[in-house]
Amino acid sequence: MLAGKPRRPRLAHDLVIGDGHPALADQAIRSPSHDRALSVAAHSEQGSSQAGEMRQVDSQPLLEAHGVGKRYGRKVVLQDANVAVRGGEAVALIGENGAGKTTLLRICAGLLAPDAGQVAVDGKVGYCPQDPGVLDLLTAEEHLVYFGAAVGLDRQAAIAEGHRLLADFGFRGGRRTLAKDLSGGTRQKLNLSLALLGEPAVLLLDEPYQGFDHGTYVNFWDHVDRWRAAGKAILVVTHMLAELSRVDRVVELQVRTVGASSNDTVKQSRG
Amino acid sequence: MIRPARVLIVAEMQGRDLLRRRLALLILVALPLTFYLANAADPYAPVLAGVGMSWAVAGAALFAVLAARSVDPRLVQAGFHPRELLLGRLLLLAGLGLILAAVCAVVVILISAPPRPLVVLP
Ligand SMILES: Nc1ncnc2c1ncn2[C@@H]1O[C@H](COP(=O)(O)OP(=O)(O)OP(=O)(O)O)[C@@H](O)[C@H]1O
Ligand SMILES: [Mg+2]
Repeated sequence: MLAGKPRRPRLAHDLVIGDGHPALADQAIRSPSHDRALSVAAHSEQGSSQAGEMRQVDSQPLLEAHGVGKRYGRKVVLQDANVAVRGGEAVALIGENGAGKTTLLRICAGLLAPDAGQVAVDGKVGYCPQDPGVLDLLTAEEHLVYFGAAVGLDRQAAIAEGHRLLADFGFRGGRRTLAKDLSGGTRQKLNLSLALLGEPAVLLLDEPYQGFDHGTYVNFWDHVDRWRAAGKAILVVTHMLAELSRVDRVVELQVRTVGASSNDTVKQSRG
Repeated sequence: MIRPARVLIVAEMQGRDLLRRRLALLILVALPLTFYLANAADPYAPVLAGVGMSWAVAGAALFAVLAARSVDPRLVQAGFHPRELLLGRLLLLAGLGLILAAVCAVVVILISAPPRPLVVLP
């Protein structure tokens, strides 16, 4: 950039992919370094049934981010990041703290403009931010009405659908309790439910189970299965590596140090 | 597209949020009111009351915007038109301003008893 020389960031993070781009996915699948789980994933991607489970994965991605780049000042957070999620597919986005997972999700949700690349979305997007994006002085029900209006639900419909979602996650907050007075995990249940109002086709979930008790956490992954069966495209940021078997694919955002040839990895699994 | 029903929801939620800031609202009204009462005999006291009243509405607007700043992007992402948020908030604040202006007018007429209430300056 300066003096016409391409500048290398001191620390660049690279999103590594194996999806939406058949050539790359194939490459990854053929790579001998990948384990058995990968070839299982390969089959599941062809839409074959496993363990009696019939699940049709659409061929067209509902969410496709291509060549996304983002920098803050001189700090490159994302460089040529690619991710695609088809309907009926759950993809986990993993990576160290600061790898740019939230940044990528915000770009996919349209909350942040990328410096490079495009994002194409087919259908309504439900975005669950990492930090609960709620209004401190409103009750849960008022949130339902407010966010329900955004997706075209009238008051009754928003409250009915919202309470169903909240009940699904075992929400227990008083009717008059303000969001600021909810417990952390309970507030997070509200945060997640708001993202799910109005049956969005694409779900962008940024560590959505933070603070969930064990039962709700297990339950959350059952919901992921259900959303997937309903044909939604799910991109979920997670640090819970034990649950990676419950998604179709794993995309890792990686830290790449200067001069490293490549340490790209594509992990895939499907339980 | 701007839908009136959604603008009203924004106004409603903004109103609920603001009304729960009781202490802040109390201070916003009490401060200029005290200032006015301390100078009630002054011929320019009605002007003081007017300035104080607009200060209170501006303060309420500041609270409204600060509270909403972090959530507004999410509301737009969820489907609101930015102008619906703006209009809803303006509607609520304009309503609040009208109520405060009416209360202010009554107080000034009762206490300062200007000879021609519709003409503020003597
Ligand atoms: N508004 C901003 N201004 C400057 N730097 C930012 C801004 N937002 C994020 N960053 C930086 O971008 C990098 C990626 O942040 P991001 O929140 O996307 O990480 P993350 O992968 O979600 O991390 P975590 O696992 O902790 O949630 C971080 O180094 C962060 O400091
Ligand atoms: Mg994050």
